[in-house]
Amino acid sequence: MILLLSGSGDANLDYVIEWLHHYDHPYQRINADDLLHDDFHLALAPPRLTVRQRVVDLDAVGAVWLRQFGNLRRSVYWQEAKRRVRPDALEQIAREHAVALGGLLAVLADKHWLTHPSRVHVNKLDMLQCAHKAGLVVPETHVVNRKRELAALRATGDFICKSLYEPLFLKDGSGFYAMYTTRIDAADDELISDDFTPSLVQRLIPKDYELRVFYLDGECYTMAIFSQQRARSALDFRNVDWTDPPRQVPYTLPPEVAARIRAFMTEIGLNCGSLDLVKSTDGRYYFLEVNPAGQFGMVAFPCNYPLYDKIALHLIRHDRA
Amino acid sequence: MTERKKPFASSLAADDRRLHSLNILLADYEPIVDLARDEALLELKQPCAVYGTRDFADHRFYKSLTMSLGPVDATQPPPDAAGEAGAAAEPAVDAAAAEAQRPDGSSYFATWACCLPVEGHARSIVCDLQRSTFAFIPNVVAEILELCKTRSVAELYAHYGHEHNREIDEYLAYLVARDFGFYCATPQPFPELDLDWRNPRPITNCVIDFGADTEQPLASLSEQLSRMFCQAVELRFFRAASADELASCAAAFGDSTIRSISLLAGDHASLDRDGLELLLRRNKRIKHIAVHSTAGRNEVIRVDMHTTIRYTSEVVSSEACCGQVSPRYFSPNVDAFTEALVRNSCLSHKVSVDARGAIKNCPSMVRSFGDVRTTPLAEVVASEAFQAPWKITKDQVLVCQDCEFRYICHDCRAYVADPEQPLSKPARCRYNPYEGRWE
Repeated sequence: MILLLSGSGDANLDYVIEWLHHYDHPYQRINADDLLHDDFHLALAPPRLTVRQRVVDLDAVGAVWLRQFGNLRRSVYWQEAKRRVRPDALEQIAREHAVALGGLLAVLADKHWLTHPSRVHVNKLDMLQCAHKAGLVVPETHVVNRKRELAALRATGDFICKSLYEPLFLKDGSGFYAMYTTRIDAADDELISDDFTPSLVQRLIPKDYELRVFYLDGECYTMAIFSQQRARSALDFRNVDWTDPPRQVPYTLPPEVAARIRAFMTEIGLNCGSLDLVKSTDGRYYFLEVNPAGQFGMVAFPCNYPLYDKIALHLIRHDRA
Repeated sequence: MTERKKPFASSLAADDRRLHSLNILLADYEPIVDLARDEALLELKQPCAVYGTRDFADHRFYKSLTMSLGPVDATQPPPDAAGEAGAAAEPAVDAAAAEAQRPDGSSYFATWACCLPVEGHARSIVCDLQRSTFAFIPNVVAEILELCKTRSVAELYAHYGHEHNREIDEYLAYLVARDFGFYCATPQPFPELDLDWRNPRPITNCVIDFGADTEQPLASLSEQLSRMFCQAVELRFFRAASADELASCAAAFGDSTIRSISLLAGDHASLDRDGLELLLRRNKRIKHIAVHSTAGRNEVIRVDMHTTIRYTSEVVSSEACCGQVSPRYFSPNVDAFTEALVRNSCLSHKVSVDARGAIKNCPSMVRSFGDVRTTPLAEVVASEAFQAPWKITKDQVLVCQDCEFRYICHDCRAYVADPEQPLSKPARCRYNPYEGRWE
């Protein structure tokens, strides 16, 4: 049996479930938010799992697909709890919830994992180091906390800043502040204080186009995004006007770049993930980041890549092995 | 360069900025157009036991249904007429800009993978499957685009004996200006779109009709359709229906795999714009509402990217009003295009329940496969006879097979031009592909 671990809002699971049905293969989906709403009982030594009063036969589980198994904030529970639970207590509950989820993952340690729990969260800086070691080109990268250091860098050319962690959206009034990749302009000088908290800055890479790669089991499924076509998405594709999107087309990576991505993913122990690259105007392919449980519908649908089918087949193959 | 909208730092006291990181300080402000609607939708949950989720994502990739009626205002020309005029006229091309984009004759011209030329008898179109639109091109341009797959621009000139270099340049400049293609040093990294259509769902869409006193077993239908992973339903009322009745019918799909509900109902006092918007705000699955038999009101309101409200004075008294062919119902998108290559563009993976409760391929078709109250849908759907019309492609339908719209237009097998010839074209299609005009 295949276990699918993610959250309620993850449509990727819905699409893979359709294929698992199609192939008539047994599966069980557990959402992180189920633990807050449904009957859930995990007993230990020996482990015994009951979900919605039905025993999940852990011995029968061969393969596990792990995605965003956490993030209490996106749950129905959170909407109620944020109004009714003290913030410090809620913080503690979130940590406890994370430990409960981690306990379930630990019980499944010897299964085949599509994204191993130890690799589902990666460090952006570490990934840049690893990619560099695997022979991928990475942008010149700095972590600084002083304006004068930033000024010294900017004296040598254009720089961008981006979030060290996953980007955040701060809701405010009738809109939100979005932590997209931002070019640091001279006009920003007065907004930047002399000191700030450690921040990621990278030399700006002039782009021909952006590349989104969905990596699965050694294969790269790549899409080129001509984000340069539109001013607002030029630096960060997520900042796109969906009523007038830039071109997104299937792309074939040069074999040596694909080989380095394979070497990199193998080295860091990821059998699946979404990678962001840039084809620069100087012809080089820059690695920007890897998201182990990233979105890939935005690659699968426009390019008509059979990614959901491939994932289902991968899980079925390893479930039987 | 992007114009800075309102960096977060502006909202902070100068002394507090040092407590933040650069990325937060420089974060730009994005207004949400309709915050009230956005928040209302966020609070709404769309549970589905079959998918094992208490709130599935409001995903943008789904099939939506709308009954194919006549154009909103019959006196207006079909929506493609403007595009036709545009293509016929000299395209507004910035020649200098286009020239600047073309490095030299050794470069290649590539159409974007999502822009597919389809040749018709009299003329061709480029289907832009990413932006859901199309544009007319002469057949010779479709031919040129085919040649461009393997030839550089210089080789293309040579192919036509260097006699038409100027025309070729103009055609390509037009395609660049319309953003259907681009020049590149080599087309190699840009493969063509994979045109395989893959579908794990036994049923993708369903039409349910309501006559004067029809009672449909909606709860049972919702459950049966969900087990077949149906994504879209259309509920059609051949009589007036109140907003409350529509809301309660749509609510029957409250725990289902349905991602898109389309409603069609006769006018009722409660179906004013406010009433309909409230309906949309209370049920996120409802994507399209059409109100028919309005006393002269003809209007289309685009609520957001995926949601529309439509008023039409047309009277929809029965399923016999369906089957109109119009550019309004064209679907230039990857799913519909690839499906049309191998399946029927109306009936594929569709099941319907007519106003008398008969299970059919489409309510307008004659053959009934059983009564919905006594016959399980899955049994009907699995039968070979039921699936037979799914496999009739436009390439098999007479006349349609010569039409440039064949992969973006929906078919109709219920009303065909020649009842003696089952593969004749839809009776209500007024387009003549041999002359390239609507009659």
